[in-house]
Amino acid sequence: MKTSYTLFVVATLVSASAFADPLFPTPVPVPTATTRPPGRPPGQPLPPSGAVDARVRAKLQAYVREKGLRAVTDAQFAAGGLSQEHDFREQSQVINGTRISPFHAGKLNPVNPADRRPNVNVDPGLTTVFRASLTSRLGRPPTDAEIAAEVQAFDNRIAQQNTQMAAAKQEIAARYRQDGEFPRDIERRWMNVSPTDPERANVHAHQAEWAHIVSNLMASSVGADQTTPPPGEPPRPVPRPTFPH
Amino acid sequence: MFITIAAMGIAPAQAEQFTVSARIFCPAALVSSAIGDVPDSSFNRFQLVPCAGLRVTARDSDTLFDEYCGSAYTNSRGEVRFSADCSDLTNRPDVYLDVEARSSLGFSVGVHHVSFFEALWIGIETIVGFPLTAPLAVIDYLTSHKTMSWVSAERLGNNNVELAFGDSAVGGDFAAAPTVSQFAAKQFWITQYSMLRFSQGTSIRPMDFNYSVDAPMGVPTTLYDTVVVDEDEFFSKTAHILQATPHEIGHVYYNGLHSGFVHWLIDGPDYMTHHGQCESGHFQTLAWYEGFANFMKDYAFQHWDWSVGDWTATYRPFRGCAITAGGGPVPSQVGLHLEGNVQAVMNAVFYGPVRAAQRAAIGTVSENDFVCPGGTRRVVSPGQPVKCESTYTPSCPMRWEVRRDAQGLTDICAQDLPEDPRCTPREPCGRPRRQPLACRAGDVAQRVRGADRCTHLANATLPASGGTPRARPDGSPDLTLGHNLASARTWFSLPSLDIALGWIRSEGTRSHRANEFWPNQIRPWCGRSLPGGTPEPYCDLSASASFRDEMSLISGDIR
Repeated sequence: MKTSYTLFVVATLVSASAFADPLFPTPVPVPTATTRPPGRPPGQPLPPSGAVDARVRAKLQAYVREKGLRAVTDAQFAAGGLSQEHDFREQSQVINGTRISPFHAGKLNPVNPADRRPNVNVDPGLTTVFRASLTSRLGRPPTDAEIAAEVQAFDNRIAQQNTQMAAAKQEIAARYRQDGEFPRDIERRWMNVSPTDPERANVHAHQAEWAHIVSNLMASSVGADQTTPPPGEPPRPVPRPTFPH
Repeated sequence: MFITIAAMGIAPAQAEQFTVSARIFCPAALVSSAIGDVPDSSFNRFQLVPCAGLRVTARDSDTLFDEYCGSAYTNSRGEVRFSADCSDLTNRPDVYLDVEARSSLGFSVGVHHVSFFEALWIGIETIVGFPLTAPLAVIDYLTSHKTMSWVSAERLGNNNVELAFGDSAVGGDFAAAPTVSQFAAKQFWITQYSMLRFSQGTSIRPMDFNYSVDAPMGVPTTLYDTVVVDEDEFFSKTAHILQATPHEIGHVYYNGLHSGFVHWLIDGPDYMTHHGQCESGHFQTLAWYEGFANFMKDYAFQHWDWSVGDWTATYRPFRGCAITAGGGPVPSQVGLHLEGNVQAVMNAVFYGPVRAAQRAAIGTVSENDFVCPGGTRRVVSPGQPVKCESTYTPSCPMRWEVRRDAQGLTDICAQDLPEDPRCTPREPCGRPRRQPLACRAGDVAQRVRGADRCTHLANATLPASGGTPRARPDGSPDLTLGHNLASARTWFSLPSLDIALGWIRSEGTRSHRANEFWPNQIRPWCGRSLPGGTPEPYCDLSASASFRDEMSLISGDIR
């Protein structure tokens, strides 16, 4: 709450001066070298900051408009069988003053038999992965019993995690009351994930670096991380969009 | 507010303990192939399937906040069944399920988090038209994350009663127009699939990461431990969303193993630019970063089948930009500033020969290479691994005897119990007992004239020089065939995925380019002597002519 309020105030103040003072760094021309010499500051060619500003603004405004249209409404939650006290309905009503509903909530739907893959009772993502590994390991297609043994091992791990989650129930409940959401740091104890740098939580302390990153991200006409196939490769199928956009 | 809280303090709470059960479905994009199901390359055809590893929480709808009653991850059948308890001030708890796109494997799929003040700000912005270009606002849009939730209708919790919520699907109505809810459900499934693939090959997990599917930018793009996807990408480039998912997880792996967050902020601007697999004009830093992620993508989608000694399901790890599909060189595309070449170096080190022409020159393992021990018979069936067949005569348990029918065709085990004076006509106990002759588990019984036989089939072995391959953690062989410096075909060792990821972790922030990782980490591993007579690594330039020739086409820096 405190962070959001700070964000609100700072964003308002900064935005008010946005037209007078471009918010993104001045473009730094960098030769198209294939190796960045050690010690040289990173940088990429940037377009004029005014163009970046305009693009960010247009993108975010379109984003907000679509969000408002597509969010689950209070009425839809009520129709889904949720009482007046329900958190998601309460949030929805409060924020409805600004025509924005919580974006992260959807309704659980009954399973439509027409949409269901028939005769599949185990997650086929699991069995597909296990079948591939067993085929390599055994040198032949695995039997149903061999796949079932892998599935059982997965279920044993899930049962182990569920036991640990149940053991931490009081702690989780207390944190839920405090934060309003599931405490991920507790969950990480049994997930065996690589540790995350604690500094990661301090995002707003590094505005200058972020501004540089966002600027580069927005400067690309297509966007970063678009790995396109080389010439001569068969084109990947790109279906037509089905949503009027 | 104070009065309400005070009232809470004196009101008797009604605590209830109950069991919650449900089965959760999510949309999966799989198509049938000759080797079983594989991900649908268009990522556009979905069917609901039981959803494994999803977190389900039971909560009680209350006035101030909704209480936590208990939670569990779904099992392989998408089912949860767990004990829950919560209390209400005056009534029985109104229990609902909160199914979150949170995986037991350590990631969350969701959306940008909108707090009250942000919503207020957005509302003002929408009405008045203020610009939203403040860096903080953009940063917050890109990095804040809320796990996607799908909530059920409420039911009253009763002591010692099972609340069965039945079958439910996440992702909303699939017949309706696409929504963020749909995107999140689809993204959860392919992310879970990719993570399962990685978990088969390595015990190393990436950082606990987020995948935000409604960002205003990102195609997708990884910001340290948060992957952001522009909604437009989901609308228009679904096939790319499929391909990109293990690639982005590869970035998360790399970011966590390479450095902390602040160092990534310094590296980040080098990564935030449009790039292509064989596009030139980029820093080697970008090429290494993307090439490594491409290697991880190749890992997730390839299907190595040892029984046929090749990749199946048409997906083959990339050979490099400097080599055409036919095997010819492309001199203009040589160098480690191309991410496709970095990808190819990693693929060659990890898989051995990748390029079809090179594999043909070395000669893939054929049926004739397999041998069987004496006393067994080689069995070659089209499309099947070579087997060695042996037979044996089944035997009966102790004190049983083999009997054959009059035609000599059907063998059985028989036991005639001695007469017992305690037996009566109403309760006979001395009747002869019969049972079929049984072979050992997995063997096949053959009815033949004379004594029946059992047939046992075992995999044939490969006695090529250098040893017999064993399985890596994911089942792929730890040896590959290649040419040595005398142009003789021999076996070479391959690293596991744990070893490959270990190179990133060991090098830390010291290196950012392929021509730094190669001399500092990869080449030392390739050049070392492996214990116990294990063959030389395939990537040893002083032993493997195949690898040396391949690298000479890709980059002069691999030396």
